[in-house]
Amino acid sequence: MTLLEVKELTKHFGGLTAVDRVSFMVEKGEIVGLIGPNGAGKTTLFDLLTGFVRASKGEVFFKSLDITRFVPSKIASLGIGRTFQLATYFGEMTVLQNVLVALHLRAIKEVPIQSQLIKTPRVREKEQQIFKAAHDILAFVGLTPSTNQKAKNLPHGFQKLLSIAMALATNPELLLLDEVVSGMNAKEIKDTITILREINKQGKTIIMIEHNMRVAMSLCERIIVLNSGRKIAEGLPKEIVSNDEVIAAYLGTGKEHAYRS
Amino acid sequence: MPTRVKTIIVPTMLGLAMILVPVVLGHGYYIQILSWVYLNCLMAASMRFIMLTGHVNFAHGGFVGIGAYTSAVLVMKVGMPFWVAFPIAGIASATVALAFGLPTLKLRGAYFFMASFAFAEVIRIIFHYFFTDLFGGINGLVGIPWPEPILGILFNPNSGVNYYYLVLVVSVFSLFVFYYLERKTRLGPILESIQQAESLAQSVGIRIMAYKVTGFVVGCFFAGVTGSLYAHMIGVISPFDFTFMLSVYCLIYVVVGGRLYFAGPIIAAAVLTFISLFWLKALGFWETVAYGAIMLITILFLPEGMVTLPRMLKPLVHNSEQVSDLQE
Repeated sequence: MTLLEVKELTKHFGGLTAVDRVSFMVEKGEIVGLIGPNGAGKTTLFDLLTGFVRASKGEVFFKSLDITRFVPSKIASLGIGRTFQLATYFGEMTVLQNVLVALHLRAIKEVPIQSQLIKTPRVREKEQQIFKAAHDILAFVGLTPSTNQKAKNLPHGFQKLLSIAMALATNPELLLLDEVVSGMNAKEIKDTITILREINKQGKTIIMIEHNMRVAMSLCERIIVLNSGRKIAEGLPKEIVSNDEVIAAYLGTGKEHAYRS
Repeated sequence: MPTRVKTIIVPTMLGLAMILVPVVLGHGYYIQILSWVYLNCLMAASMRFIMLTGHVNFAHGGFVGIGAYTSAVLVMKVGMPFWVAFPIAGIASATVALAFGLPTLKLRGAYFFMASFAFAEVIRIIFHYFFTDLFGGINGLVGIPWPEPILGILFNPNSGVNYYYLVLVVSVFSLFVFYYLERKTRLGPILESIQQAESLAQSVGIRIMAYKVTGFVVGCFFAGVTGSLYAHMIGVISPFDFTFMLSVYCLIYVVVGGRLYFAGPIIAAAVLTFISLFWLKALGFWETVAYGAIMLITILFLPEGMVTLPRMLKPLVHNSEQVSDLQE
């Protein structure tokens, strides 16, 4: 089943074309890697998919629904969760409060703010369920020991895990991860890979922007390569590493060097 | 401080003191000043509530003014009883806040500050130059009547203590509403999340505009309520009472008290109002300068507000004990 379909998606920033007629499809249950040199338009593509940036042209279909013009909160409620390139969190809040806020989509259904004005035993029970859900998510990503720490005081690797936890709290079908292991040490990377595999096993589809090739190669079933806003290759990891155009994009063609000498 | 002292004993003492003060002081000047202090506390709390999303509302004084004028006009020109006009004053402020907030709350930081600053001027100019037969132009409205007696209880601010109790009840109730919304419902964390990381809040499905507007409208409702109580207590209002300077005072209360603490702005409002009435008034024009100096000193030495003062002093007091602990 096709979960996400991107058709000729284009974004101009003034004279710059950040994303240029990119089309691809993602099937349910896949882990797709999105790679490319700096400035290739990967993050802009994520921003387009999640409604943070308005597309100049093209369409995005999520479960056959045209979501191209939707606002971020609407897209989140339809089931697309995301993390940001820089670790993003609510710094002054504790780790638990971060996840509680991220459980918003569940909470508006079960404990809307109006219902909290009068705290009947039923409302309290629902609140407790939300708390339990937050604790469960923290246990899942392994952040239980940091539950009551302020998010801004966490080590960087933990902050990245926290952003995964918050994206998971929206209960997404499709998870967009923007350089999720950057700045992590070897052990944290290993743990994160295990967590991502587990998330995928639970039936969630993942698209991940990744600079760490080892992580991309080991996790992704399929890789899409962007360069200067254009899709230059798509295929299995081993096809990608031997693709001439991909090698040229990353390493140069050697021609510029030839001109200089 | 042990929690029991903090949550039970201190509030009870404070509550008793506030209830018994009129018995000691009797009615008159000091009681009226105290009512005025409560209104300033309420104003500071509503300013802080709006600032949870990071929006510094420089039209806050204007919204207090809308409440004051609405209530005064309804009572004086329409002949409504105060008890009906009083809630309408809050609703009027909230309605204007909705109309102003919907297009402007998208703005952040300095841009919202500028928009609200401009709006504060618009409000002042309307009271000053427009509908002069209704708003009284430059002279404002004089002789705003006291609330009508209920069951023989008079609410004359000058010769009785009942108006003091009215202000006390409304202030305490409003502060409770702010506290409850912020700490006991999800509204507080959501508003704070918008301030701390707006795009993250959106990415987890929060409709940030809806919540920004809600917070703003609730804050302005209570600003209007404050204005109504102020108008009927003082009996005279003019356009100059509700300029952006009033908003600046609100901001000073919030910053000096500590934006992150619920009690901070309330304490600061009380302390600064007392200081200004008893000491700074003698400075005349320099009062504003003194206020500025107090704000600067607090920002430099107590960046989280004056409520953190005890915590900052603690190490100085306990240092010697800790040293001896280590030696053991």
